Amino acid sequence: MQPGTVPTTLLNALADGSCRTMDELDGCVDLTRRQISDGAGSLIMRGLLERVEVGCYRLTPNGQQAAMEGRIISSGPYRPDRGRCRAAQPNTLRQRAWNAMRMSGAFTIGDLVMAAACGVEKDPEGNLRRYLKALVNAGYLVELPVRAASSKLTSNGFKRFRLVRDTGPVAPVWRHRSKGLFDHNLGDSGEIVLCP
Amino acid sequence: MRNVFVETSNVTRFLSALTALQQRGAEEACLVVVDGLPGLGKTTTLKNWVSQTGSVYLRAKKEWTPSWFMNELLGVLKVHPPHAFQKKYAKALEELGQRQLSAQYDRRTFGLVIDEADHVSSKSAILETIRDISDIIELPTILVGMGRVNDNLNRFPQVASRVSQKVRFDKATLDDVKALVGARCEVPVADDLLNFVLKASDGFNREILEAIANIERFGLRNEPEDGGLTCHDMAGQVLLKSRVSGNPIHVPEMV
Repeated sequence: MQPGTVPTTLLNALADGSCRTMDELDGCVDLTRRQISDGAGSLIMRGLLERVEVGCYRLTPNGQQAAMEGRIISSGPYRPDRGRCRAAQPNTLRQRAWNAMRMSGAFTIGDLVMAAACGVEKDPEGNLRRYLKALVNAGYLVELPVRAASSKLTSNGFKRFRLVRDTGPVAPVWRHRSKGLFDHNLGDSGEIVLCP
Repeated sequence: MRNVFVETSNVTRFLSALTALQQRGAEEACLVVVDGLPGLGKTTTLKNWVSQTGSVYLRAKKEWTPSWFMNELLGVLKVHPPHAFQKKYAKALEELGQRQLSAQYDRRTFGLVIDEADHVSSKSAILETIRDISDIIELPTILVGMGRVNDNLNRFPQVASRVSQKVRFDKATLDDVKALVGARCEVPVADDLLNFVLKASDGFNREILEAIANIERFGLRNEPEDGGLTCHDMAGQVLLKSRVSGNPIHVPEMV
């Protein structure tokens, strides 16, 4: 059974707006009593169903409209995630580097490594180089025209960057599959920012 | 130069003070004052600590007013500042409280760092606002200054009494110079040159880093013998610029 099938079946069974008991529903839909109870709970959480009395259910006006529109109830979130009760962000190298970027003016990858690395990373420079490339492509950072000097004879120096789009305290996350950065700070529950 | 954060004696003292702060007796005494001359590594240390802990970092401005301070704090927290001051204050408390709670669940220290605090250490209105925020949610607040913060705070006993820890950043010792050069310089350096770096830099981290860059530039072009680069090898080369006169300091043949 696909996720969301149970509440959708229940929504359709009560589409006429009448009040039905558990026994009546048990007789007319191909669901167990436990599934009917769970499905009713899911619809109540969405504001589509009301419990008139114990074991007796009726669709709300919103529920009737949803049934008329033929809405499919999915198993996803039923309200926007506003980050109020979110768990602490993972303490990753990229998160720490993002913290450092937010409080610095111009910086090189070396500056970020110094501030963010804690000694257990395998290749912090390589990691941050890839991350900064994505941030530059997505318009979060700009590359400054003048590089920082290096002490090595043939070195071209180090690229310097500046953060121009500080969207919030949570570091944007690179998502390989969508080739974009997912920014938790944007919108109600984050947005994808594509890297052209 | 290697990208490594070096734990000098100043850093160790700062971290010890934060540990001591967590074991304080009076819960409301959660202010820390970090003081020291410019170029001793205060900002670098604090930036490293803020990055590692996800704390809030603000840089005080000379013309800061309570309202400007609050707007900047809410800006860093990415909260749209309401118009009324009392609403800004409530919003800042709510946001900081949530972040602190989140950090506590994650067993991290969380605090508010105000750099260049000399600018605000004589302004009672801002100090009282900081004290209120720090008191109400017991938020460790670190005031970083350049030598005047402690003296100025003595004028406000209600604030000074809440300073639980005072950390003074001192000039680097020979051990600090050895640690800095050993960790960051890509060229081995002999003891006589290390001694001269300490003498020429007068123990200021900023000058020591300048010296390391020049030593490295020379050492990568002229490979030193076993035992590292000596004063004799670098004789006549510019090591750094004097902080007092601005003139270049050359490495002598012998120290």
